Amino acid sequence: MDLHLILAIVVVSALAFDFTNGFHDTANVVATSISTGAASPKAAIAFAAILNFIGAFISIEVAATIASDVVNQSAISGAGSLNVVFSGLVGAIAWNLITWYFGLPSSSSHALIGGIVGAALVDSGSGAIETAGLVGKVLIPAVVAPILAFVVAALAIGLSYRIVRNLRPGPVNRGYRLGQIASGGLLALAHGTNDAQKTMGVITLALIADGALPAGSNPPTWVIVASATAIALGTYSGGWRIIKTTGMRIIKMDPAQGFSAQGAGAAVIMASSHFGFPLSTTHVINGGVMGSGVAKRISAVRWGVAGNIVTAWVLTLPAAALIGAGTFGLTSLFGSGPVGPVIISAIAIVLIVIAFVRRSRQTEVVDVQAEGA
Amino acid sequence: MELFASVVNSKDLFETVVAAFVASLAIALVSSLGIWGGTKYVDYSQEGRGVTALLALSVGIFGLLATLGIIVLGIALMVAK
Repeated sequence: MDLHLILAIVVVSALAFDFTNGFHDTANVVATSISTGAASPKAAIAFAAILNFIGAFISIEVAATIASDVVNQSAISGAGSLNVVFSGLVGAIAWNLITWYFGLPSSSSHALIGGIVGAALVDSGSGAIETAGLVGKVLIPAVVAPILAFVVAALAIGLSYRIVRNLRPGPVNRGYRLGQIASGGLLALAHGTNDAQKTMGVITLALIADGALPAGSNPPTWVIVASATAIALGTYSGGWRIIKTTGMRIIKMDPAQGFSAQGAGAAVIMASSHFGFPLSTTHVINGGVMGSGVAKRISAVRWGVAGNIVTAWVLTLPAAALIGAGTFGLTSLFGSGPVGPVIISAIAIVLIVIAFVRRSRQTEVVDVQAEGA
Repeated sequence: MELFASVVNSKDLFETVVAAFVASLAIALVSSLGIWGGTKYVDYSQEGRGVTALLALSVGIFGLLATLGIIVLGIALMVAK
């Protein structure tokens, strides 16, 4: 009974993480379309939410990586291990909300993996970590993907500018804005495919720890549907603070740059999902945005903003790991039963409400100041 | 290098890089050709250059269809695995 209660808390936490993932990463998908005027904010977000939902059904390669290549499945079983998954999720949700609070586009995926690794390290030591999987399927692709998106977007925009350079800007901008509807849709589909699968992988891991599924199982259908729904709802709720950072503060974008950044991002994410690399859609699209800016001129990129983003990227894995480890330590004080997760969940809900209220009050003050100016 | 090879599936990583390069550049090329063709069609039509306008239009249509084709192919490859 206790084990099932913890499992229920873990599943709800995983879906809450999935919601924050969609909420946090809406910016990655829609920011460029909105900032270039290719789509209205409401339309772009609704379109992205629908395609996120559909994308979640396309593949389960990434879910398999999360479920089997990060934490050693044979080393986990029982209530203690469910607490590891729970603590990892708390670490990821906390880091997502902290970076949302400050408007920084950090990686939900790395937050999730960092949180789980941190909690598993405290629980069972380094033996619980699949080092080869973590390095080969997470860390190296994490470094390669944004660089790849940067280079590919820079080459793509260079090629595009070369072809259309002598044309009238009006029809060209209209053409690329139209193209952005397709590239933005493809990016939303790719985002749903890669990111919703991470939650599927975590819930599958929890079901294996609970004994409800044998080791090596794929996600059941209800897990896929629930994960797809949670990420789509999160995306629809949208994170405006990060949309502004990605869409307006890194570079001032024209429609061709937006199209190239989205196209490069979608291509990198889809290719990676195909091979089961759980990379960060945030890193990829921001790499693409910077690449499309640099191709125009190096000074087009606001390097101070880019530097803040890179700092958040570097901090994400260790910070989420620390929060995950700390949460596991706290949870363990109450034993391996459901008391710890229940208390931590209650504290987390209170902190989240406080953060949302504070943030919305600050936003209201800014809006009032802007109206008065 | 041996350590790198022991933890990374180099073939998958290499194919990911190649696929991302090819898909991005291909879509940038054909979509830009589509925009070029559409814009030039209007310009040449206004100048009364009917045959050249039709040629530009065919480039534009090719670009549009090829863009859609690459998108569909990309999704099909993802679903196929």
